[in-house]
Amino acid sequence: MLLQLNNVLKTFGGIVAINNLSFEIKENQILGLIGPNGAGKTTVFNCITGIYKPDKGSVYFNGKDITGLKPHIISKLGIARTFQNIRLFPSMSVAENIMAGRHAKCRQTWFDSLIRTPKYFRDEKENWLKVKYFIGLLNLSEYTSAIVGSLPYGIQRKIEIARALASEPKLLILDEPAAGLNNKETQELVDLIYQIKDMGITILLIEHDMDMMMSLAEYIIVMNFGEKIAEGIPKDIQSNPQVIEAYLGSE
Amino acid sequence: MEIFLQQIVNGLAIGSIYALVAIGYTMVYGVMKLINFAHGDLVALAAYVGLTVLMQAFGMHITNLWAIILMFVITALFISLFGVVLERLAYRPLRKAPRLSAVVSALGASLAIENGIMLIWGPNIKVFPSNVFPNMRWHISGVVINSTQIAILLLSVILMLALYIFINKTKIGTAIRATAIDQDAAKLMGINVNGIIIAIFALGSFLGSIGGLFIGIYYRELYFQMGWIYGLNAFIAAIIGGIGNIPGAMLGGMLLGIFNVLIAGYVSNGWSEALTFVLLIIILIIKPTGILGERVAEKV
Amino acid sequence: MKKNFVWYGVFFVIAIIYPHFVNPSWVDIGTTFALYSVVALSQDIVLGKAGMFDMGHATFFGIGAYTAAILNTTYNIPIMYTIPIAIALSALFGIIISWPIIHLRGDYLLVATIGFNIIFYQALQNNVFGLTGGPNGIFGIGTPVIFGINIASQKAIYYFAWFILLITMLIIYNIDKSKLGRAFHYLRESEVAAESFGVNKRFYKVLAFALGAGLASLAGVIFAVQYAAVSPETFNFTQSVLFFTIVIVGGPSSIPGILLGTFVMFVVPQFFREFATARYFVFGIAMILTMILRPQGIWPVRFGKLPKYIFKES
Repeated sequence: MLLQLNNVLKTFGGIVAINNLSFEIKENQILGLIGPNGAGKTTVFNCITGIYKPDKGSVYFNGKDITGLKPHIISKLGIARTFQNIRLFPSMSVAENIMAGRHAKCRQTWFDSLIRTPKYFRDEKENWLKVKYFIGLLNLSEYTSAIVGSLPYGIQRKIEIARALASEPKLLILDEPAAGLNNKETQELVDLIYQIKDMGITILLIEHDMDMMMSLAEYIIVMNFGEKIAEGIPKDIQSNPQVIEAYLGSE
Repeated sequence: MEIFLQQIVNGLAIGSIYALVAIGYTMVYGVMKLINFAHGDLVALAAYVGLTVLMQAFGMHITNLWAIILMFVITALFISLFGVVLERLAYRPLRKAPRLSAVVSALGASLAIENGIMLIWGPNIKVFPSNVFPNMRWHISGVVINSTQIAILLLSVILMLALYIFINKTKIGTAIRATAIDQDAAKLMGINVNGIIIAIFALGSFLGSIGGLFIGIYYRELYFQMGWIYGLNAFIAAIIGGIGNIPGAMLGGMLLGIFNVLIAGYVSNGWSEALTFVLLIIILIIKPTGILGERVAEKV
Repeated sequence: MKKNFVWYGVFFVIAIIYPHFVNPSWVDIGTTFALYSVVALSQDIVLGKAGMFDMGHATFFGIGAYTAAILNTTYNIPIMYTIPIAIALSALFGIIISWPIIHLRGDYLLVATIGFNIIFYQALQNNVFGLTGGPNGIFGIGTPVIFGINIASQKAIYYFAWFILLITMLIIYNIDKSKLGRAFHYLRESEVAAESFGVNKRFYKVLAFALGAGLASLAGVIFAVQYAAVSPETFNFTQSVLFFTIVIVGGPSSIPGILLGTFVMFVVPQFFREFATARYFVFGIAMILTMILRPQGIWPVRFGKLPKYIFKES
């Protein structure tokens, strides 16, 4: 069991966003989180990654209590994420954006950076070559020096995932990675996620594309109004009356 | 004790002026997230324009009362218009630009207006005639209150009340508040955001111009760099009260006025500005949203 | 890359021969240009790279100048020894000042930095601890002696100042193409994203202030030497506004941009000294126009230069 949420409660000024939520993710599992808009899914992600601190309850990662730790520390422990609205650096090149994911792995100190010690040169080379590896892994080689802001949405999504992978995480959190993608791009995304699983990484994802979710996820948690209303394998979720009711009207 | 009460009275008079100026800052910041650095210089300009109008009127042998009314009306109209033109020329072209570029434009406008004043009226200090408001003094248990202070305080309160009613009870006022919360949503609701911004600049400049005239009437000495100091203090007042929050600007202005006077009285004058900023920094660290809470559009 | 080095080479060659072709008052301007460029580049670390609204940077410039002035005139410490002390002291102040305010929203940070500047200025004016000399400042500051050579003549100080500028440009260049520079940029563009891949917000933001403060103070020491005197006016809020404007008008995080910015904001007005009265009026208008026409700055920064080995077939 890689990640565990225990009775997490998160409120914002009196409004309950997440109520008594508990679930766990097994190592190398692909776990899906679904629910209508406003169910609290992104809030769950933010509680895991440290952007929010739960009011009550705890989050355990790899056996360690990470509840309320700062985001950069949680990141260094091996959790990487993408965002619902892509947060890349539009004025920089693709390679520089993916290099961002290497930040925690770069070992030069600020002093090394300032005066260019041999350690700086070794560190730079090692990490840029890693960036090259991840660019190749996601078939982005032709875009290496392209400025991100000018690239199509589908490519930007891939770059954000590449950035997350570049930090060599144990757990990868994807927030609606298929949003805005066409059918072909979505299929590429599914293949990519299987590829990531083969790398030994555990995946937690939010997705509204039900076809994609049901075929991809090994286990699903369903949320509504901040609470878990169902969990199980895709087949069971699809026939769960409460889930159907929560989604009444939506495909 | 009397000295303390005296300081409070003085502080309230000055505080009203700060409040009038602070409202201009807080409205613009609430909607556009822009610190209008040129606002203080508009206030200074108002004082100079007012003086010119007044002297002209006296020169034309217009009676006291009408001269004063003329001064207020013409100055207020002119400065309100000036504020709208300023927005159109220096800020609107930069709506989509990085925020700091608009800040530099504001600084440029401030520099231009300040030096424009110097070019037109010369670098020497100009003096307002005394007793523009008829001057009477009352002694109440050892505290001296003069009618100028009362007039300023009263007029300011009336204006602020009128503004409060306008903002909270009229359609335009509600539109202003809506635009301050979410410009895009306001647009979708059919609110003419450009028009709202024009209204805000006109309103803020109007109140600022009254503040400027009060500065002339009360302090009487005008120098072309004075916009900076009043502007900075007024902005601090707006932050203390809660930026974007109009009652906050009023409260902040009053508090700052009293604080300023107390410092100058009990500590030395040379540390006055510094201590004002110490107060500000402490408030920013402890309660950055200000006393009454801020009302700004937050882009999360 | 190579093209840029050629331009910089030309730039420095011109700088080297410059003092032999102009009269002394223009040599002075050349020296101050170099020093102001150093301050602007140091401010750029905080404002342009790390994206923090700092409008009180003249404070650190002043800390350097006054540290040298006080140590040299009151305690007879040779100028060269005041340099590391000034840098360390200023960096320390940078940390102390930024620590409590570092997470404030942009405009609040702006006003807080203005506040520290004004507090500093009034402290100088009020002759705090009897050390700062009040409104008249401190006179009779000595000159640096390196390996027995006294850097005392106007030309020598000029070259020393330009040497400092060269060092500063190298440091900035090193920052840009390193983990440090990248971290600043990530924080500037998106704090949330930066934290999500391990950037320690507080550490880098305070570090930016410390580095910016240290460099500014280095320029401050040489500035004190150039005029053999320091006074509070040079380090007040108006000066901070100048440095702030240089960064934004020139182009945040762009070395050529900032050098151009210093030229435009400091040297160009010198040409119009005769029009003393209208000078700043025109200047204010020019600032507005420049921002409207080039909101990204005169010479904006460009990204995308990658090391060659990332393209080679492995």
